[in-house]
Amino acid sequence: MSRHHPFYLAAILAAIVIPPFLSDYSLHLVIMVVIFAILTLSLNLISGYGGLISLGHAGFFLIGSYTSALLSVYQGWPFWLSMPTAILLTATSGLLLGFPALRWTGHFLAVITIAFGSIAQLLSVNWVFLTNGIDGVSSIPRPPLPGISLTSNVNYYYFVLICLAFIVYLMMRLVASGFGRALRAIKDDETAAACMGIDVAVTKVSAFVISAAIAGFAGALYAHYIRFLNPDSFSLDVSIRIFMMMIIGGTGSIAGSILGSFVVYVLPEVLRPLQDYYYLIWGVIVILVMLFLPGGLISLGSVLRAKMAARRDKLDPQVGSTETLS
Amino acid sequence: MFFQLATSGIATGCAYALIALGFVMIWNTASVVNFAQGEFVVIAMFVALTCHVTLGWPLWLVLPIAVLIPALVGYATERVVIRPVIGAAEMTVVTVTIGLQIVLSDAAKIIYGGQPYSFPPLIEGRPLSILGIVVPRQSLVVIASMVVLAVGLHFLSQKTSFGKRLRAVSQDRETAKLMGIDVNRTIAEGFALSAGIAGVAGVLLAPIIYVSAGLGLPLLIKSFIAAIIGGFGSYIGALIGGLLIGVLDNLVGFYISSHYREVFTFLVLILVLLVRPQGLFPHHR
Repeated sequence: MSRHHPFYLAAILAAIVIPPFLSDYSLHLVIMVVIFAILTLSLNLISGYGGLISLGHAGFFLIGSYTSALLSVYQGWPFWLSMPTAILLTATSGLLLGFPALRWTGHFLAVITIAFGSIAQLLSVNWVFLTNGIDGVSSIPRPPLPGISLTSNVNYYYFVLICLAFIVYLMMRLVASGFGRALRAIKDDETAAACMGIDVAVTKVSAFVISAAIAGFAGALYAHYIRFLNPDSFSLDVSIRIFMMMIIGGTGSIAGSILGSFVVYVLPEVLRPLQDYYYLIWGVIVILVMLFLPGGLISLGSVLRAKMAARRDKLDPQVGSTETLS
Repeated sequence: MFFQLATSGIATGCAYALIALGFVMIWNTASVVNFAQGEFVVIAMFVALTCHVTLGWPLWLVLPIAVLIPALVGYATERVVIRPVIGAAEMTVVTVTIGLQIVLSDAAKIIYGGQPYSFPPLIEGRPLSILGIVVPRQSLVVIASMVVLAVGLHFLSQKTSFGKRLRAVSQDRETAKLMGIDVNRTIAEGFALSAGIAGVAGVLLAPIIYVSAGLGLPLLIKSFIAAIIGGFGSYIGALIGGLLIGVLDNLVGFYISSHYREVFTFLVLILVLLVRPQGLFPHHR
């Protein structure tokens, strides 16, 4: 970890210093990157650390967005009240989805979560009385903050960046805590974990609840940023995209999730000159990363170092390297 | 009306059943959940469309080509992208097949655009009336093809050496290797076979639904659910699960609401998993 510190420091500095100088469109992109980073972190908790595949995170994102948006638009609730309510409601839905996760893992859970996400999206289309259907919810207000106007996108960027910092801090604490260790133990071997006295059921369900709550938080941040919601923004594609962000960045790594969100969100924009072909190339990149860097982009440094060490060993067989061991 | 709807549901159900069958076959032989399975269906549809509608080739020539090409693509994808990740972490494998799905569906979109195309019926003629139920000839073709294919596959897996290799590999890859079976080759051939089956489903589906580049993922999810309802890993379960989903889709669409069609499919999935998690026809390894 300490080896990377200069990189992390530079990334944090860049995230703070650069955005005010970006164009409107680039600023929009980085705000979305930050919101998706929070979402990816929430998925990483259950998938990266807990080993449970979820392809339904857009469902939590949807519930969080719509709850906060509907409460503030139709009931006139302030953001500081509608956002916690959104978190509470998504956490409850996470509780509901946590129970199937007790019994099923792997591809079964993948389908159950796909079902959850799809049901959420279909209901948001069909429950017109509640969600206004495909016409969507518009003129969602930006959160009020004394002294600072969040209607400016630069200010909103710093607002979501602080939120991300808070979530990163929360995740680091969670992962290092007894709960985090229990979660990883379950991922490695459920039976062994149970034998060590870990309450598997409680740990898994709490992981789902916390993950859902964080995704709901990201949803509220999204709704009050974009100010217009419709069901299109919460399709299966979005769930898959969040999943990709986690995998491409690096499962079970906080920095990986943020890097993954950045790459997956910004790459299509970089590839835009290729027009129609960019999604295809994106698919090829996904496959290549998985074939050559199964640990995600975040593992690039250590993989390269191991390769170089192995090469050095080959050239000079007398000297054993310790690099590969670490 | 009930029987009318059920009969027309069986036709689409047959296609779901075949896709689910190929999907389960890949799972059994290679332990790969193949999210790109639906794309093999789409490939077959577009090959058929190009050869039959655009080039005007006769059906007897078009159909084998439309089944063969997805089989070749299936074989090639196994060799190039799936083989390196067989035995890797499940999430890695899933991601690779999702990547494959993105590549194949987007390639279709680049070539054919996003718009739907209609495909002429495989067989001409007025619908038949059986016991007061109007059955389009097309549906009969679909049902008959599925029965023939199911019987043929059963024969293939029980009597031929390829079928025996396939079963040995799905039962225990290590032991199969010890018995002198070329596991890699068997898995690649299994991929080709299952992509070919998906191709048949594509050819049968093309006249029933509009052909479009975005069909792969929805079809995959339908048949994934069918496979789970039937009992994941079981071939007969995949077939019956597919039929059930097809019929249910039609009945819900008519009696309840076409808007909630999908919701019900998912609810049935959750219900089956709660009440009978091993599926209707449990698979014993």
